[in-house]
Amino acid sequence: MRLLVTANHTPFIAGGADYHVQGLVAALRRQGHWVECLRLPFHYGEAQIRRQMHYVEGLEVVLPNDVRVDRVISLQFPGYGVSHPDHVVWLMHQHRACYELFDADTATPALTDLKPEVEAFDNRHLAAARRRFANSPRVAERLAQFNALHAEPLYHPPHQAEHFTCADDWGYVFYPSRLEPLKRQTLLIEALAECHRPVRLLLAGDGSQRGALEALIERRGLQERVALLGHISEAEKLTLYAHARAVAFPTHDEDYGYITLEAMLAAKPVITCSDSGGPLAFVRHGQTGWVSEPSPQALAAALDEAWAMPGRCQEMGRAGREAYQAQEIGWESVVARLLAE
Amino acid sequence: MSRFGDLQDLVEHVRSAASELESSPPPYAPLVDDDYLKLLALDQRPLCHDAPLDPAAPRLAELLAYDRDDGDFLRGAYRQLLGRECDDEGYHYYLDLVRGEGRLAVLVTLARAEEAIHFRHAHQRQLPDRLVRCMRAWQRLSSLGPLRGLGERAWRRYLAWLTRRHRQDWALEAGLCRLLAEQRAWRGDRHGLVSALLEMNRQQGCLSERQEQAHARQQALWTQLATIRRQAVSSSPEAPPPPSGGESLPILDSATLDAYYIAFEAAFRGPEAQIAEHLDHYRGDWTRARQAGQQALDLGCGRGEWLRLLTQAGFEARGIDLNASMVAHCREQGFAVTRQDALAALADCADDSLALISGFHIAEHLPFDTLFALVQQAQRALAPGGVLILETPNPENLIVASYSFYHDPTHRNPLTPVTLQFLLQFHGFGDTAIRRFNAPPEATRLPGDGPVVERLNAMLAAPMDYAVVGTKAPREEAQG
Repeated sequence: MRLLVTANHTPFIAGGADYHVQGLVAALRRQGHWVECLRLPFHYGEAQIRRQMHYVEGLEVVLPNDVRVDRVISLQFPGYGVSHPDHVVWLMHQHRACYELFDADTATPALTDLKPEVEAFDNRHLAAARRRFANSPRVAERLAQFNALHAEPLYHPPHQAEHFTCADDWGYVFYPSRLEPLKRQTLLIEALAECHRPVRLLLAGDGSQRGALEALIERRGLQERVALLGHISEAEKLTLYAHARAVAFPTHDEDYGYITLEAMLAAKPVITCSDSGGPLAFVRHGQTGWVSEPSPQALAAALDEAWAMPGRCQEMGRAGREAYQAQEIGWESVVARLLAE
Repeated sequence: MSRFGDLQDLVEHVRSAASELESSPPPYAPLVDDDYLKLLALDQRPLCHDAPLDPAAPRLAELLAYDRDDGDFLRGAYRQLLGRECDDEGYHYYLDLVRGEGRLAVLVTLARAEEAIHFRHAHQRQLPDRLVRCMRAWQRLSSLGPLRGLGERAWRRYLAWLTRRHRQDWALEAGLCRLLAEQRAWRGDRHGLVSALLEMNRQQGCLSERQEQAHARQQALWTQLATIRRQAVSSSPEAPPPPSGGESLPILDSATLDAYYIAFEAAFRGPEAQIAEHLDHYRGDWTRARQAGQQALDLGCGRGEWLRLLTQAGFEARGIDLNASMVAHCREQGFAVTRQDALAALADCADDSLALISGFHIAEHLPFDTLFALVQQAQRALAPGGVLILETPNPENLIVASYSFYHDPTHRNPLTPVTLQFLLQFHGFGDTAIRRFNAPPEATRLPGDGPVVERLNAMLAAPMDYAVVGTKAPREEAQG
């Protein structure tokens, strides 16, 4: 089949989305399809977004330069605004600023104006797609809630899934993520201050919150219990997962969250929150991890419990790995579902 | 409870464990031999024309083989009933019998033989029902006593009648069975081929991954080597000898000689427009170099064709040349060109300051120690990701090596592509490529075929120029 994949392009900002797009294109090619990836420049800002929506709607993707495209697979806003009779959308996420992150009290007038336009754009184009998949149950749930459209959750594996292993417990809780407010490292550090046991925490990643987190660690006197590792290499990441006692993922309303899957692959229990979104599709409280209320006290209780019971952590981790394997998450099944007639 | 008391200890420990992981060898791809042998076996599989659909229980029609001649019938019957090839004696004896008594009678006789009974028991073979019934009837004939002759006549008439009645159906059935059996064999072959292909495809994936890893590692190693060597030279007590360019590089000072060289260039290297067209081959290289910065230096810039291209490509291009007429020619066109020695010009450049350094047809003018120093200086002066291009006549072409190279009296000796490439690698250019250009006219080629002509043509018709293009490792790779 001649397949066109549409996705966004944000130069010099790499992230999970890039891996997702490249992984899909590579998997489609491995199965012998003729695949081109159409990456559309994305820029935030209301005026820019309005222009981009308009531009995408005018794109020719059925017969570009007289070459027939058999199917279009779209992953992101506003790329799913293209029109093709055989259009499959695998929704990574919508424009979140206009949906669950929208707050009428604090929104600028420009954003308030843009919101109905984005909603209309999504309703129009997502409803027209021949088939809709969502990156995770959370993304599907939001689509049902805000746009009254059904989408089937379709999981894909994290990068280098086969490289994750479990090794000796070296006594620390690990949380690799960008240091950003939505990832809530602050909540985790506050929880650590409430812990009764000497729980140790390694935070990997960099971001806008680094200064604030350093200050918080000092204020709470936790220098001997928390380390900010900054950017880490792939090998370091694998090692840190392998030797952790547990993995913390107290993020706020995540779409999918590779961290959950990576922790399960490394056979580690996951400590997450009841409003964390994506991870809740995988983590079973008391079986493969802890789902706590998003408060420092509740999170501290979960951390204390994990810290006190290394053996229980191992069992939960193993259960997590089995749960991952039972889901049969792999690129081959993704391709089969996306290309089903 | 925890193995590492101090948080800092723990972090150090994780880092060192990770570095061990990083230096572990890349995954080895499995050997392809197995699949090769499987494919060979498939290729050599004999085409078997008379294997029955179910070897354990052949059908009567398959044994009678009325779609084939008597000889084939006999050979097949031997294989199915006795499990062996037909011997000469048996063949002639039964061939007569087939002609006299018919195939069915021969089958009954063969199937009743001691050897056949033994074979059936040993290999769990079943006979078709109708053949078994015929064998029983034949058995009963011997109990007829005096009426036996009569019985045998009736028996023969019965067999002849049976054969007349069914022969056509049997022939069709035998043909159909043969086709089905063959189809099944083909399907097996196809499955074997497809699985071998898929496996090879997978292995190719592993191999290219390994190749990428090896390539990255090699780049890093060359860069490390250059750094170490530079450190060794700078720390040695004796200062390195100063470059001897001034003495050994012939400086064509006189205006007459300079004018001669301009005319010579026009006559032998082609008009400016044609050269510009040739230079366009390097578009990919200068585009890549442009990522590393804006400053370009052309050594021996001649009439400035390359400078014009680079300026158009957005570089701030400078040139140097020893020939005063060339320098004047370039300046008239507005290019920043100075009359200077190549090595001196490079030595004036700061570390990591240039995106692109080029030398078209200068390497062959230089004594080796000057060329050596030139490449070394270029590696130093290039910014990470910067590109060095050295183009020179290609001695792989016999005519170039033995004749046209010497058109230019200032040429010293031809440089082979591998020599020049190694020189760049030695100085730390991890990523190097040889580009060959300018195939000689078609008329150069000897007519005809054959190994000798081919061999000669490979030497006579090789491209007449080549370049080695080296890229200085980008900053992050240089640390790897």
